[in-house]
Amino acid sequence: MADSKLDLLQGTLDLMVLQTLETMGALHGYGIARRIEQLSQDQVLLNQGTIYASLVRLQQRGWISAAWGVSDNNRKAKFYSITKAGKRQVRTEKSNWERLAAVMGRVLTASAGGNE
Amino acid sequence: MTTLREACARVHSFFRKRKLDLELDEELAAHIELATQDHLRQGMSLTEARRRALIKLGGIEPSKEVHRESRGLPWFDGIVQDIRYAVRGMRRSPGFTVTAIATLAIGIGVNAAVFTVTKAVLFQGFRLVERNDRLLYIHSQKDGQYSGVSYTDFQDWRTQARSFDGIGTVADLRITLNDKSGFPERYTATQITANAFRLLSQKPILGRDFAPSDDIPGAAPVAILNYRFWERRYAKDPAIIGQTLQINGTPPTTVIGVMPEGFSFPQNQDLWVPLVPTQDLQRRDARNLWFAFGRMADGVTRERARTELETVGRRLENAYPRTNQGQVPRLESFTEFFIGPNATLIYGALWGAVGFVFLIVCANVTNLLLARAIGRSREISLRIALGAGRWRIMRQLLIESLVLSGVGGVFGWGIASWGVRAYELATNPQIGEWSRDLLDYTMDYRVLAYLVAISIGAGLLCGLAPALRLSRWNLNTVLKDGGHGATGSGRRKGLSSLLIIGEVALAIVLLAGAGVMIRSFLNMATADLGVRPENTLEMLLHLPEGKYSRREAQISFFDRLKARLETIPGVQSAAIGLPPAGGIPGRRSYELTGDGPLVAGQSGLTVAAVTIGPDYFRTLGATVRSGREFNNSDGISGVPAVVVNQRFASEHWPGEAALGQRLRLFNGETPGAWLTVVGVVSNIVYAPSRQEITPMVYLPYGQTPRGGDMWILIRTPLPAGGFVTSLRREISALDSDIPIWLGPYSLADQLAAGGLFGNIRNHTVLFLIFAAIALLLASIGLYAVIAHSVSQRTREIGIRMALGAKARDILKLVLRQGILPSGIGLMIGLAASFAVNRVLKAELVQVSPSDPVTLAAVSATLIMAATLGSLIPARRAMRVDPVVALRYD
Repeated sequence: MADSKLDLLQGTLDLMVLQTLETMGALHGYGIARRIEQLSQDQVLLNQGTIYASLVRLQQRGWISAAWGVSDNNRKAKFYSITKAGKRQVRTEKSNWERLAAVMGRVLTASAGGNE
Repeated sequence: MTTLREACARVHSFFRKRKLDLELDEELAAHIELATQDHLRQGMSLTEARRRALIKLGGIEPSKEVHRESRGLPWFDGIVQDIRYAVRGMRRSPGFTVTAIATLAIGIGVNAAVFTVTKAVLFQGFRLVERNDRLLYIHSQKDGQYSGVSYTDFQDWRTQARSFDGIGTVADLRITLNDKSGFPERYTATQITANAFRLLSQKPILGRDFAPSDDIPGAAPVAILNYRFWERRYAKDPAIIGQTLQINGTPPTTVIGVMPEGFSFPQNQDLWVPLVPTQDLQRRDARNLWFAFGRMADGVTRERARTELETVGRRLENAYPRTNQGQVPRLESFTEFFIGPNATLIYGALWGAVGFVFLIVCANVTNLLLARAIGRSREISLRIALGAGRWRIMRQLLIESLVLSGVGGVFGWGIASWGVRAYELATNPQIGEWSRDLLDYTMDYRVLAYLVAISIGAGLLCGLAPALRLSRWNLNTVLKDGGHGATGSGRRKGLSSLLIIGEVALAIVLLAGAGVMIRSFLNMATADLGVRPENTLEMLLHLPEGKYSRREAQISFFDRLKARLETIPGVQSAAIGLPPAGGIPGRRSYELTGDGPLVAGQSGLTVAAVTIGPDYFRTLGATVRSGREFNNSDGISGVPAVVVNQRFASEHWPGEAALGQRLRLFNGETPGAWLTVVGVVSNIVYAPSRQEITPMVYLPYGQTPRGGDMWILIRTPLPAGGFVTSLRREISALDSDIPIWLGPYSLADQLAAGGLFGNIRNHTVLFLIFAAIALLLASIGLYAVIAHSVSQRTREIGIRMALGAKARDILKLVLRQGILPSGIGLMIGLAASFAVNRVLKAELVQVSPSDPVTLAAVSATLIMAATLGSLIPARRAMRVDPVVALRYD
């Protein structure tokens, strides 16, 4: 089963994390990981530990901020939320992805002898 | 924006490792706990829940690792780690470390020292002056020799040459200065044209520059002060501007400015005064200015400037044949004019020599590192096996060699400062501070940059071969062989042998260079110059114009001085006249009786003429072959007399008696009186570095209309150094206003140095030092390679001996390993030195650049050193006990 899981493309994890934070509000690392796994219906191969590398990267770029808080079950945890710059970044990245996806779709569906 | 922000954040994180790590620990702990609770809710056991949580995380340590890499400076972290590791490794093998660092320090140190000197001599020019390379120094030459600059020639150059932004000129002047502060004191002034500072792009920091109206006849006298003088004499009092000084008893001179600190042009003056053309200076044949200088206009090449000025010079020759016949304007760079025509070559050769030393150093350290790397093959293979990338290993090894060369560089700086100081003291000790104006041996940022660059270069050069070699190993064989597999590898031995060949070849070239220079120096020092230089002192006196303008006054001064000096207990004789190496004798046209009428300059018949006083030959220790030397009867009232040297006599009157023959000299086109030969003297060589014996005539001081500056010589039976004080005392007792321009020097010292301010001895010593370092390093390198190979081959030697090899066979085996590459290196080195030594030719006296005696001696020295270097380890190999050797490991 694991063989059929998708490897994450470079940079896609960062966008997923950003998007998750934009829709879900403040979340801790485990919450983000779970959310991404749920949305992808367990189709991506996610080493949860890499989330933290992604989070520190995003933080250094100023797209998210972090603060210590308390989780639902009273556990001290670090919560991340998206910043204004992060929201702007999501918008540009999203439109880039959509354009790229459209192009990929056209290229991959065009028939070999197509006279497009 | 984002990138910059991220970079800042990364650097910031780099310095907050501990705190960030703690935070991450806590965060990951929370993560595991949250995940475990989720899993528990799905009904798993606690152990299983934790296990699944850890698996999904991908392990705590790897997570931390990726976190650290994405937040900080992983590359830099690695380097810091590598440096720490390298230092630890170096501490563990102090013998290796000390050897490598000492070797590198010597190599880097001598290079930086020579760079400091070379930079000052070849590239620096005048301090503070911009674009020194656009300045050319101009003087007239006749028969290829300096003949000064005439003011009228200079004016014609200035008005006719288009290649320059401007041309100025310079003369030196000793002055007696009197100001309000008290008694007169003697100082040095430099006379310059009013445009000089503008050409040098310098402005006074106080007051004003010379104006064009300041250097025309009749202008009110003005002066600009050197900062140093202003500081010492006037304690930097700004009110000095506008005050007046009395210079040489002229009308009061107004101080109009002070130049910036550290500025001097050309050297060692206390103040500058405008060069006002006096009646005397306006004579075209009065070539008593020091030099002219010009700044080339934009886009003008030196070649074009030269062609143009030579054209002007030819025009002047045609217009004024009497004074300008054969006078060619010559344009020289700073280095050519102030240091000498061979400077580029000599200092280039010095640089090349230390370059060779540097290469030998690198080869040695490379060998050391290779040997060490082999000892570490197991460790490295293990690291590769554990997942270290090849690049990672290479980086580690390169950083180790860079740490070595870095530390070597630090010590090298110390060696360099010491070396530069020693060089400064050894060259021109008599001038001291003077020469610092021209040659500034400060080790400034350029020297630092050079030192850093060569240190890094050495590190990379030495580390590269071992790094490449090690990172390419097949780790399976290495691990299986227990660390011995790689040692005997042919390629490693090949590289070592190549390095030895290179080292030996370089050492040979250096030794051969030093060898011929020593031979040449010995030739020069022991050459028969026709005089006995020991126990002879010489000094140049200047008779001030005002007091001694009359010929009689000059003659009577020197007569009285001679008598006075001879009363000093121990002084055998005193005389005036040019000492060997004291200068180049002037040339005059001449004719003999019976030659018929002769027009000066057309016959091309010239002879070197020296004006001397009584007892000159006795004082110098030359032999009068026949007749007599001058005495007090050869005065104005006496019969016009001349003494010729043997060469002159044998050229003109072979087989005839020279005594009683007559000749006359020309002053320009005017013939002088007929002179009678009263003596023939042995040949004296005046330029010890040339050693040519030329025909010469000597004229009695009492009969020549020449005044001004004269050399005075004394001979003593004891070492002459003890007479310096009494000499000074007698001169000042006779007239306290007489300045001693140069000296007193020992004639023997001057000749040994290769003439006034000569550096031949110093250069010879330097080459010898560098060659000795090279030889020593090459021998040590050879020794190290062989010793290491013996220690690696202990087992092999043990087996050989167990199988019946005799001690002699083992000796041969080991010796061959050292002698063979040394032999090849020797051949290559000899071949190379044929080519390289030709460069030194101009500096050599009576020795061929490929002098067979030198080359033979050099080869013998090297073979001895190589044998010694391989014999020590070979003896150790012979004593190997087969039983111990086979059990060894």
